[in-house]
Amino acid sequence: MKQPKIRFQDVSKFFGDQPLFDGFNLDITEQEIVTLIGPSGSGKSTLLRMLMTLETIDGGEIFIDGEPLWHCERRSKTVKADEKHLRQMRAKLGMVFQHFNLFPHMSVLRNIAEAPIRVLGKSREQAYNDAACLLEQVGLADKADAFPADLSGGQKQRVGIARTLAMQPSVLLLDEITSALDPELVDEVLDVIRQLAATQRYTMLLVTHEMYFAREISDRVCFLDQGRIVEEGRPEQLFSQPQSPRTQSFLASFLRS
Amino acid sequence: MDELYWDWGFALEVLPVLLQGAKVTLLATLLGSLLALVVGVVLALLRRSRLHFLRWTARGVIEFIRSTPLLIQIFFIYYITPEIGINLSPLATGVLALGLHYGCYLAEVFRAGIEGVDHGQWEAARALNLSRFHTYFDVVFPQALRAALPATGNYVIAMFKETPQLSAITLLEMMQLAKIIGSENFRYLEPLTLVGVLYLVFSLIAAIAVLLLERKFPPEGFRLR
Repeated sequence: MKQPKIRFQDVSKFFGDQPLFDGFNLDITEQEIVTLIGPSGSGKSTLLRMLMTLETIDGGEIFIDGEPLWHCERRSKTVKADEKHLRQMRAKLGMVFQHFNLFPHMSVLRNIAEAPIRVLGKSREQAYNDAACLLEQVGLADKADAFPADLSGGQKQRVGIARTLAMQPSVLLLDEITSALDPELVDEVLDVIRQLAATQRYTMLLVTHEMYFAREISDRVCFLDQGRIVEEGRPEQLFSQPQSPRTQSFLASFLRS
Repeated sequence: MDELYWDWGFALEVLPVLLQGAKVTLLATLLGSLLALVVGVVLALLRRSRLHFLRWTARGVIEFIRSTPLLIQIFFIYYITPEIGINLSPLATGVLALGLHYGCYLAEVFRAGIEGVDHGQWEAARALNLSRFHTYFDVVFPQALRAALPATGNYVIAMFKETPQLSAITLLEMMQLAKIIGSENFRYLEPLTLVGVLYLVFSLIAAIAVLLLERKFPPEGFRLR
């Protein structure tokens, strides 16, 4: 069998002495689009954040392309991952945030070009050219010189996506990327993701509350509750015929609203 | 008792001398501010170090220097450093003392500024794989130092007004010259008044400069293009 792109293996995570995850397992295949749904506090975002190394793990391991994320080999010994190893691993990942987290003091173009210049060592000219292409791709070519404060939420998030893509990750982590948006701005952001899913070959791990979008875009949907995958399956199956009572009541609460 | 009167002739006569002193005062303030800026940033970073030892050392240094009078520090540097073979001019002593003293105040201002930067900024920097260096210099400092600008301006002006303390180690700044002129001519009114006015004028100019800087740079940070 092909090795998974991402593997959560026996991962545990505590908040204080309260376990959020205790022996969590999940495999994601290359180019698979997996959506995590579930009530708040179920650990969806934490999974993404542990993978992006924004949160540490307390046990188990996460593998990317078969390589452990939180451990590395140094002088033929397995040790806790150092910054060098983490940076190598992070290079495969890109994350888009709920609250955009654009750099407010940089122009839109600079927001996108900053990391390619500083991290990938691209020339300024090259990085700005590439950034302009990405802006065009997300429909914001005319906003290159604007500052984040001048943009609508939907525009900010599209810049956020472009900024992430500029680092050429193979895995995209989308953490509730439309949750902070006014309803009428949600689709302009989701359209960008739809386009990416249709034309590019990213592995994607999403957390979202937009059920229709999850249904439409995902290869697989996982329903999480209290740090466990209660139910998973193809979207049409999970949304139309949820097996677990908890999944049923969660989805029902969405239909009501 | 003699009547108090203002002698314009005498005032105009001593003004050029006092302006010479003003140069020294301004120079001490400028160099002191630059040193304080560097000391402040370094101490603020040490305060955030992952190493206990560095954090507590920085904290100890800050508390110690903030809790002792500037005048004692000035004397200490001036009279004690030669004993360990370092001979500093009055100006160098003054710059060092002002820079260290105000650096400790600025360290706390900068630390607050750094802690005020939204957590999401750090996370974005990490997700984009920026190094620690670039996270600080490209993302955090432009926002944190902009936030710290008004308070920093206050401290620079406060430092400027503390420079007469350097007259204690014979630095020929404005106040020292005013005292010398006074004792030589038995007239203090004009030189002291002029020095007061000069301090007022320079302080106001500095306050306006800070205001203009605040206007020029938007509140979200010093802009990078």
